[in-house]
Amino acid sequence: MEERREEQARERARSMLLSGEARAVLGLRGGRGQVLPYLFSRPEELGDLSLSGIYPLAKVALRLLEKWEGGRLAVVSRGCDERHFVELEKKNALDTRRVALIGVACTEEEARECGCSRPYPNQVDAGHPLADADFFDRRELEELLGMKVSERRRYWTEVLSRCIKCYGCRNSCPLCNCVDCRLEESRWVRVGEIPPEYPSFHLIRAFHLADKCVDCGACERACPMHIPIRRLHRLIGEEMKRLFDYRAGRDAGEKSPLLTDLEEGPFTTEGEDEVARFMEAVAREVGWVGL
Amino acid sequence: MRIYERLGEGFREGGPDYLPSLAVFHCRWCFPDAERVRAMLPERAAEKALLVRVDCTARIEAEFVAKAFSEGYDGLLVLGCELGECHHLTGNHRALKRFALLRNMLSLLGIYPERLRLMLVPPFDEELVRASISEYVSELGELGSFRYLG
Repeated sequence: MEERREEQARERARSMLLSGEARAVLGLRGGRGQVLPYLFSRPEELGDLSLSGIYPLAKVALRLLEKWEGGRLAVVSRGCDERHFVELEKKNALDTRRVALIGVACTEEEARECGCSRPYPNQVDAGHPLADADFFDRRELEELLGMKVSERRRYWTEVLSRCIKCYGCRNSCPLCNCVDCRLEESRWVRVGEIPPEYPSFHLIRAFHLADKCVDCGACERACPMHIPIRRLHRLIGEEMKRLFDYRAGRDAGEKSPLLTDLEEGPFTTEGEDEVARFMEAVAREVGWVGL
Repeated sequence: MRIYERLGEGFREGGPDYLPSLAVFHCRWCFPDAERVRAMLPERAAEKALLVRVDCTARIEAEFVAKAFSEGYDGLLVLGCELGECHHLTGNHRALKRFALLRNMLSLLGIYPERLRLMLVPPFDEELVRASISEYVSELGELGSFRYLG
């Protein structure tokens, strides 16, 4: 089964290289006792293409495309990788004409390990999509949601005090790609101090990712102190869904609700149009706008 | 300098008499005068309030909120134009959506969302503004010190 999936991915990669649809294929290379990202540029190498690791390849693709003037790059991507590319496209972070995806559906075992809610991309080239299956364990979220605010504070201060500010969460995240990172500015996060002040570092990062995070779990896997940061992002993602009916990574045409443009037009809470009703609902939800 | 080093003897760790320290961000288009804003705060709270004039409520990012709390302020109040009155047309829409999310995020991180308040108010109805600020300040007082209680 697994071999068949790998064979399908290799076949697709080979045909893309041979037809010139892509100049090179970015994927994971196994077979040497370890699995690492590798740029396959010759069809003969594709025998080493492996699907046995989980790695945020979109981050690598971004760096490559910055430097690389050549043609199109094919990327072997799981569901989460594809959602990364959707978000990157939204943010104009990369030219989608230069990227082609080789979609890989995750196996049940992989999906379970990741706790994934949607373990397959929209376009599947290898494997069988496990549709309608949610492997995410909500119990840890329920536990947090059931706490009082002060208990949550105790929980998070304790957990976040382990942070050694290695920036692993930021560095592993394909969607954390600002040129100037706010987390490095002494104005917002004090330099040379660990743990970072509660809630500065983590609140800032969580907010920056609120409308982008696709719940891939790369940050949590990268964290050397085992901070369960993913559950925070997951909870925020659910708030985005509840407040704005928005889910990151769904569709590149969807605009982040946290942005506005002038076409939105000035409106008041008394307006008739849909936007006005929406704003009124948001205002009522938080119960504090105006007086 | 951290706020609680600056507070001196007025600093108490919570309780009914607790006087909260406030960071107030006010929009320059509807509340241009910081001294006027200070005059609208309850008398003793005004002394230790930090006033920051911003170009639009949409200028207030999550960083500002994070910094205010990590520096030890008990509450963050934002005064802005009413919906439909924004000088930048949709700046306060953006602020409204951002703060709706931020309040939920604060609650998830264990900070009482009541500590963050966006007031989109008519600037000329001074009595109304004054009354709602003092209501907010007394709510904050009940929550107590950010450092102490959370």
